[in-house]
Amino acid sequence: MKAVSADHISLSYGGKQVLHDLSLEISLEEFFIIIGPNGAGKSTLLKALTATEKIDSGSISLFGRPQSDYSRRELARLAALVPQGLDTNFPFRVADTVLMGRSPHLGLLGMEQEEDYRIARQAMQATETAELAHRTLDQLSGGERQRVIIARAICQQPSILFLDEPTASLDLAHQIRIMDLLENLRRERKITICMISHDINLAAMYADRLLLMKSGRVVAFGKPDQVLKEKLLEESYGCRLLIDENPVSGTRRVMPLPAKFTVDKGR
Amino acid sequence: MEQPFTRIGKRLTAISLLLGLLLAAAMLLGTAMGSSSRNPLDVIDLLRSLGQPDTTQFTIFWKIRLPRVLLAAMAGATLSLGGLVFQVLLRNPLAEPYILGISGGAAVGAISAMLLGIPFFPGVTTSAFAGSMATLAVVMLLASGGRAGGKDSLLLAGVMMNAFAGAVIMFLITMSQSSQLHHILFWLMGDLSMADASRLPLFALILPCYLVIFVLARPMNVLLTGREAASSLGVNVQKISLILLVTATLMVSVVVCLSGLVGFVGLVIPHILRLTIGPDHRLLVPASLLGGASYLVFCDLLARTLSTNGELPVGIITAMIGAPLFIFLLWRARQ
Repeated sequence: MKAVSADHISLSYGGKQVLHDLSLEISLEEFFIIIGPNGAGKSTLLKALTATEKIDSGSISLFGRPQSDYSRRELARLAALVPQGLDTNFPFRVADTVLMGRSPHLGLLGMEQEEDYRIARQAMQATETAELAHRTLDQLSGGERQRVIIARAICQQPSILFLDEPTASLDLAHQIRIMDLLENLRRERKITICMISHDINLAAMYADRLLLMKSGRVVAFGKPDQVLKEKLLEESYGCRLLIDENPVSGTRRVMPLPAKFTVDKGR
Repeated sequence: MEQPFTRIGKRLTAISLLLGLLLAAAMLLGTAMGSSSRNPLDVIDLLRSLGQPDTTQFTIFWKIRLPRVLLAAMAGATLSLGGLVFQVLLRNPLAEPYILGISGGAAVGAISAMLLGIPFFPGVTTSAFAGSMATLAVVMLLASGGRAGGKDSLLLAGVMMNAFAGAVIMFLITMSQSSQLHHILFWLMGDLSMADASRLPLFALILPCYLVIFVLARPMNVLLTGREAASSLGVNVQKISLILLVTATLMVSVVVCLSGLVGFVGLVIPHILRLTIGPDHRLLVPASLLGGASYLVFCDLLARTLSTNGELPVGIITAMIGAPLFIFLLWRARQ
C-alpha cells in the first residue's frame, strides 16, 4: 500500500492549466520533498493531494482508498496540512490554537475530553512550543509560529503531514530545527512527510525521494542523486549551477552561479 | 504542568450567568421606567402592581413596555450576533451589518414593500431579505475584485452601498404619496416604538438562527486561522460560510423590518467582549447574544427617557456611542 498515489491528474484555474497529466507515488513513512521553480504548480499539487482543490481529471488515492471516498472529517484525521503562514488578525492563544487540531475528532458541539488535552500537550512538547502556551499568535516570531502550526497538525494525529515551505523566511538554525523535527516525527510517530521546499540543499539532506516539477509537469522523480543532476536542474531553473558533494552528509550540494563567473565554466 | 487551555465549561457558565443577570436587570429597569415614570425606584411599584391586574401600571407593563423591551432585547441580540458572524466571515474585526450596507439594503427592500402596501409578514420581511442579500453580494464582489482588495476596500464598498441605499430610500419616500411618511422616517433612524405583541411571533424565525450559529461556533474559530487550514482540519469551508452568511443576513433583515436602521450594535458589543473574554467563539456567541440584548434594552431606555418632549429614535443613541468607537478602532488599527 502507498501513502499517496496520484494517477494522471490535471487541474486548471480560470482557464489556465496548472497541473498537466501528473503522476506520483509516496511510500509509507517516506520523507518526500517537492522542488521546482516558482510557478511550477507545487502548491497547487499540495492542494490537490489534500483535496483543498478539486482535480479536473485523473485520480488520487490515500492509503489505498480513493480520495473522493473520504468525508472531509475522515480526511482531516488522516492528512494534516501546514499552510504557508497563519492568519493572526484574531489573537488566539498558542494552546488553544494547537487544541484546534482536535476538531476532526470531536463531536457536534466540540467539547474536548481529558484525552484531547493530553494529545495537545504532547504535540506542544514534541515541537518545543509548551513554553509558548500562554502567549497569543501575534506575539510570536516566524519560527515559533511555524512550530505552533506544526504542533496543531500533529495534534490532528495524521498518518501523513503535508507542508508548504515550512522553512521559508526562517534563519539557518530554525530551518534545521524544523527539518530535524519532521525527521523525528517520521521516525518516532511513523508519519509520512510530504513537503515543498525551495532549499535544494536541505531537501538533498533529508529526502528519501525528490520530485522536480516545472510548468505543472514532472521533470524528474527519484532518489536525490538521480534528480539533482546539473543538466536537469539548470534547464528547470534557467540558471547556471555548481553541483558538488557535501563532505559531511555525502549528499549533493547545489549553488547558483552569478553571471560574472559562468563565463569560466567552460561551456 | 499548569493548565494552559481555555476550558469552556466553567467559563461559559460564569459568563452566561453574569450577562444573564445584566440582561435581567436591564429588562426590569426597561419595563419599570418610561415617559410616565423616570425614577428607577419605580421597579418596586411595578413589582407590587403585578399582583393587581386592574391597575393602569399592570396594563402598561403587559401591553406596552414588556413587548417593547422584548423586541429591543431580540433586536440587540440579533444585531450583535450578526456583527460577530460577519467579522468571522470577512475576517475583519470592523465588519458590521450597518457599516457594510446590509441593513441599508434590507431597508430598501422593506420600504419598497411597505409603500406597495404588501402585508408585513411574509411580504415586507421577504423583500427586506432580498434587499440585504443583494447588497451583500455587491459588497463582496466589489471587495474581492480589483487590486485594492483588502480590509479598507471592504469598508469602502460598504460605505458606498450605504450611501446608495440611502439615496434610493429618499427617492422612494419623495415619490410616494404615502400618509405614513413621518412614521417611515422615524423608523429609518432606528425605532422600537412600533413594537406590539403582534410582532413577537417573528421570534420564531430568529431563534433557530441563534441555534445554528451556536452550533457552528467551533468551526468559526478554525475559519479565522485561514480557509485552507480550516479545510484541512475537516471544516467544509464553503458550506459553513454559506450557512452562516444566509443565517446572519436573514435574522438581520427581520430585525431591520421590526426596528429600522439601528447601527453599530454589532461592532460595539463583540468588540468589547473580545477584549474581555478572548477570541473563542464558543464563549463569544452566547456572550454577544446576551450582551447585545442588554445593550439595546439599555439604549432604548435612554431613548425613551432622555428627552422630555417625546422619545428619540434608538438608532441615534447607538450611533452616538458606536460611531466614535468605530473611528477609534480604525485609528488604532492603523497604528
